[in-house]
Amino acid sequence: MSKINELILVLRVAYARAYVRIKGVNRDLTHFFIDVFLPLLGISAIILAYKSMGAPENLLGFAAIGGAMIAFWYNVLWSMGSQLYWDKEQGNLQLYIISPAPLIGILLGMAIGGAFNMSLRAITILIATSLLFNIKFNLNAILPAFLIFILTLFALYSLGMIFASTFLRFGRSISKINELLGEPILFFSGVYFPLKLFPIVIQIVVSIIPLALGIEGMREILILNKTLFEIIWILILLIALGIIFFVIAVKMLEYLEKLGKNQGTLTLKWD
Amino acid sequence: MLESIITINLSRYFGDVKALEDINIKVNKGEIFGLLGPNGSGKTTLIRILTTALLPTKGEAYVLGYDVKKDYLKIRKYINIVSGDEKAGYGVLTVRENLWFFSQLYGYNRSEGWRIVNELIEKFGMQEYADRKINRISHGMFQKYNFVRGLLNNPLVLFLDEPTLGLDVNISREIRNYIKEWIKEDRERTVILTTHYMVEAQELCDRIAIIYKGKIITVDTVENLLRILSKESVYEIKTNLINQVEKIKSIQGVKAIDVENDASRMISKIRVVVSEDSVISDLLSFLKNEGIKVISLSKEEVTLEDVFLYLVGRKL
Repeated sequence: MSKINELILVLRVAYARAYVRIKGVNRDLTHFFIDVFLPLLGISAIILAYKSMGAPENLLGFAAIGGAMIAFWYNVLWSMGSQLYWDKEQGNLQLYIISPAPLIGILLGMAIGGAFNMSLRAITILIATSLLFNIKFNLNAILPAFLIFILTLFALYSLGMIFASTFLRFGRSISKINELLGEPILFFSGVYFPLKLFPIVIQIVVSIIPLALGIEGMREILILNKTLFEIIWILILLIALGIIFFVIAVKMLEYLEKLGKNQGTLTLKWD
Repeated sequence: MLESIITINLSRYFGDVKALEDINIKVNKGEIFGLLGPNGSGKTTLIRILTTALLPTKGEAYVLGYDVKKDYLKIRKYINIVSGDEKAGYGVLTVRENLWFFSQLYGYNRSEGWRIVNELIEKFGMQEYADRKINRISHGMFQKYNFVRGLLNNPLVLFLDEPTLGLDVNISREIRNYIKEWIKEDRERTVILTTHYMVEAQELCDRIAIIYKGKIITVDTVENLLRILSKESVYEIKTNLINQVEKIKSIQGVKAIDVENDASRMISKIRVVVSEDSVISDLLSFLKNEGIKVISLSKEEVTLEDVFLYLVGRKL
């Protein structure tokens, strides 16, 4: 198979796998309602607390953006990370393996589908908080903010692909790691407060978390009216993280497929 | 090339466990080839290797002339698998949507995928439930959907792993008929079938490999396998409950025996292969001396099950 044909196949498989996620999840609108309404309650509680304390207006926008991004992290951890494990349990993985479809196409489709679904929800949450609490976003900077958003998703979902490969290798036992990563990452991403509250050392360390960078970048642009040039370091870091995570994910997947074929663990159900 | 599958001294070990050892088979194009063996005999391991999901520890295996170790990407275009206990697909999608999704794994473009799926749905009479979610259809419908999924890439080698497991008689018959029709349509095609149902193997397979403890015991046509017992006789005896199986085995002329105990009715059903009819009188004398009451005795036609019992020493 030529490289071009291989790429076309990856894209077709990715489209098909994204179709499963988008069509499947959005068929039942109650999912959408639950995914938007419940987080909105949590974000509203934080915003109301800020308001009651007479916090600066900026903080309300910070909480709205951070809160809207939480869903992406859980989606990456649980819907990306554990999906190949469930595919294996159901027998889908065996069918993927024995078909010409590259596994990276499947992961890419999962990522695109998940990111699309979560974006619809995040945008709805942002609009709702803006209307409910009269939060003003710098709409003139929507394009740079969108660029940061897309790069954040690229880095975040590439990380999700690494989790998926790891799950494939270690099985359900690794779900403990998911639980362990869930809240701490949200905390260190500063979803409800500015990262600047952390000591500088922690600020540097958390700059390898795409979620933290993305939230920070969008806040700087949409709330603090900064230009893309002023936060170029965020842009560069997100691109670098995205590429690094993506390459690691591809290599891990190749390695795990080889290992699985040698040891027979890839298509066998877990003990 | 006449053969679609060739294995040469194919072995697979999992640590100290020899799942397959020195498997040598040749499967011809146009053939339905059965793999018969109890659970853990190595059938699934052999299928995993031939479907490129698992590497052999040693030996060689070729599918359509391609080496499973080196040319696995070429093999994958031409094979597919359907398993009886399979629940593959996504419950949030309909039968039609799931089939389309799986078609995309084989490189069809979107519209081509839909066309093939719609044609297969019509051909297999699935219109009635094609737009129902797969988690809302019966086991029989699901297995038909599975079977159609296995045909999406128009494979040259189709692996059927217990395809009628748990299905009722009518749907099993329907699936068996599909298999027969499918292979007749194009003699370049091959089916590798594993089944626990001897009747199914007898009805469908051109040749059968009996596999036990990772080794091929024999490979032959159904007729030739039945001929193995052409000089022997098979009897079925119903008695009150017995536990003297080992003693019966030691009677001269008893070639194989299987005992099914029905504790609730206090009855044992003994199926025995004997070298000649006179042996049965020795057996009856033995039972009488042991105080075992014989309820009924009948001479039976030799079945594949008896051949399996004779060759392997236990029922499938």
